Amino acid sequence: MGSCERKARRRNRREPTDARWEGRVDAGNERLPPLCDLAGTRLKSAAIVIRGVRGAQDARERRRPTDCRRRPVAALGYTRPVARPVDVDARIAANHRLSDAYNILEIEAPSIARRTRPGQFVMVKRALGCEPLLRRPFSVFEILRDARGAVTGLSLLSKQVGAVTRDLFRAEPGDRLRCLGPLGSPFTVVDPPTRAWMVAGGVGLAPFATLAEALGARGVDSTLFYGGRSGDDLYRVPFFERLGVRVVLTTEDGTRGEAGRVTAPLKRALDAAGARPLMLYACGPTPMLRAVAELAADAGRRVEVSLEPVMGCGLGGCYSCVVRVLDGGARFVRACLEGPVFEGSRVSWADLT
Amino acid sequence: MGRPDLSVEIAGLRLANPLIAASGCFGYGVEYADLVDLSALGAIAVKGLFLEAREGHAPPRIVETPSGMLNAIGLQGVGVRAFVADKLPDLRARRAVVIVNICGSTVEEYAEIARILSDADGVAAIEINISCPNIDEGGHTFGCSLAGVQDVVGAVRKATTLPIFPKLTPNVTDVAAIAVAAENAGADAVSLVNTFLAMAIDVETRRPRLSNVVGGLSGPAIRPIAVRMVYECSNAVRIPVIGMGGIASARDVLEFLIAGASAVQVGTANFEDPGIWPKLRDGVVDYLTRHGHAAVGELVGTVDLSARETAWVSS
Repeated sequence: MGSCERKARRRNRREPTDARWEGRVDAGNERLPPLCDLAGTRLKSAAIVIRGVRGAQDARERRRPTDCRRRPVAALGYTRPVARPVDVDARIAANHRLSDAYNILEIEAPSIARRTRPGQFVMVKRALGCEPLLRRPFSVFEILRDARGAVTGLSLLSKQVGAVTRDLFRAEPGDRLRCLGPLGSPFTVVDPPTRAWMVAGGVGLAPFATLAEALGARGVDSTLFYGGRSGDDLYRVPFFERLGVRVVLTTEDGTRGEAGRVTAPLKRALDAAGARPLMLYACGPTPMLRAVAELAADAGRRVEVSLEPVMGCGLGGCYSCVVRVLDGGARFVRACLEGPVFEGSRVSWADLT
Repeated sequence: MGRPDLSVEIAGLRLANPLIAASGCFGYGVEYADLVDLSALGAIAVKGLFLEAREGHAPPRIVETPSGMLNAIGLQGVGVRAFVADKLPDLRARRAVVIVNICGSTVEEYAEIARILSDADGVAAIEINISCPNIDEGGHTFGCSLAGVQDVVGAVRKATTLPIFPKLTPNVTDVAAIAVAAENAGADAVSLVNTFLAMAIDVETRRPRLSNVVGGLSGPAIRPIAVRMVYECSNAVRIPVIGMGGIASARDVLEFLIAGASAVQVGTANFEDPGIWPKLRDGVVDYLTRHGHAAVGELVGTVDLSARETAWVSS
């Protein structure tokens, strides 16, 4: 084992447990990973943090206070999660093809995975070049760990819809993936006695694996409402059940769970929810998100939705991923910075359809 | 031989290297501070600013096309006063060389913004956007006629002593004539090209793929046209040319320099790879070393046309 790998191990041992990691420990206060962070794999190409500024970055990181969940970034005009993004040339460790459409890609990018909070995303691309030109955003699905609990990478849940996702479906272990992250503003993870209801439509399950873990670590009573067109669209249900999450399944064709849309059991549950505080989280097709936001508003409950607008850079540079919000006199804000997670009541839904 | 000198001088402005972040592709610079050492760039051309804040166009604002992308952002922005108050101090603290891209609906608006920026601390130069294809008023309209270029550049020239770089549109018949008009009106340099007016349609729905119907094409797809235009303009004017259009590698940087650009801007490629800057710089250094050049300035405008006739005869 090389010295870099040993250092990586030492860092992993120092890593707090999930309960502390999510929210209570400043993930950004952790030192940036060294260039050889992807222990044992293609050491030289592992990260492309700009040469020459490493020392300055580390100094800034050390100076940062340890107990703030978000740091205000002067001049940005908003706050962003503490962890600064890194860009890694990561090895694809595995590609689990779940069906003809869905696959889960396991990516060796521990430096990103370790800093990712529920709801954050990465911008990925198979290789730098012209086709396709731009990276695509993906929610971080799972944080991967080895037998001893050390973070080894992250996974992406992908559904074939275009050229990029088709290419990701065909990827083989050993292939490389450019992976920039973690990006965006995460979900607000609630504490007991507030209950958490996650509402997922199809591939919109993606941000909820990490959220369920974070909620579980805090002992939050959690439920997943998970809908798909058909039973073939529903995955990883046992993962959530093992975490103690109640799972309510629906399919539009009735092949699994309740027949119909996920909003039907959600509405019934909201009607019977009682007085205990409740937080909703939703990710899926825009019409579903809008319906969930309306149901939550009618029931007087908070909901955070994870949107997925077309994105150019993921860093706030291109202004293409804007979402119209109702505060501040109806204005466009960048979903890569202020989102992808938005308070449901904040979104101008009429402008999203 | 020591390490080659990468610094370039444009209108009295000394840049540490010829690599400039292109306006509209780098936010206000501060967005990238986590990933890029802003002081290591030659300069940053910040997102175009009007006098007042602007909302921009409804999404979808971008669409990817072969080796390129269309955008119709519509110059969403905070307005020049908010920029000076909220963004500029941060850029100054990071020791960034700031070129402020300005837009106006009227000649007077351009001049007013230039006056405000002249009084601000930390503005190295003004890039005059007379080329944005995505807005109805101002911008592109001025940049498409010799008189319009003369009016805007002349008015800004009177309003400021800062170096001024009109950014030219390629959507004209003779871009070199526009460059000459800019030079005659007092420009210190010209930057080109802005994006090419373009359109993409979803054939299934038969709808335009941008809410604005048309947008500007950028990326490697436009590079050969941009190189040609930089070549034409640098032969037509005495002031420096800042070249851009689809640069995605050090070879592309070199191509623009050899065509006649004194510095280059990189935009779309930064979306794909925010870590591109040191790669570009190192590639240029390698080339200079390999070809025995002591300074990057030695490359500018060195395209060799002498072999042209021989090559044609032999082919």
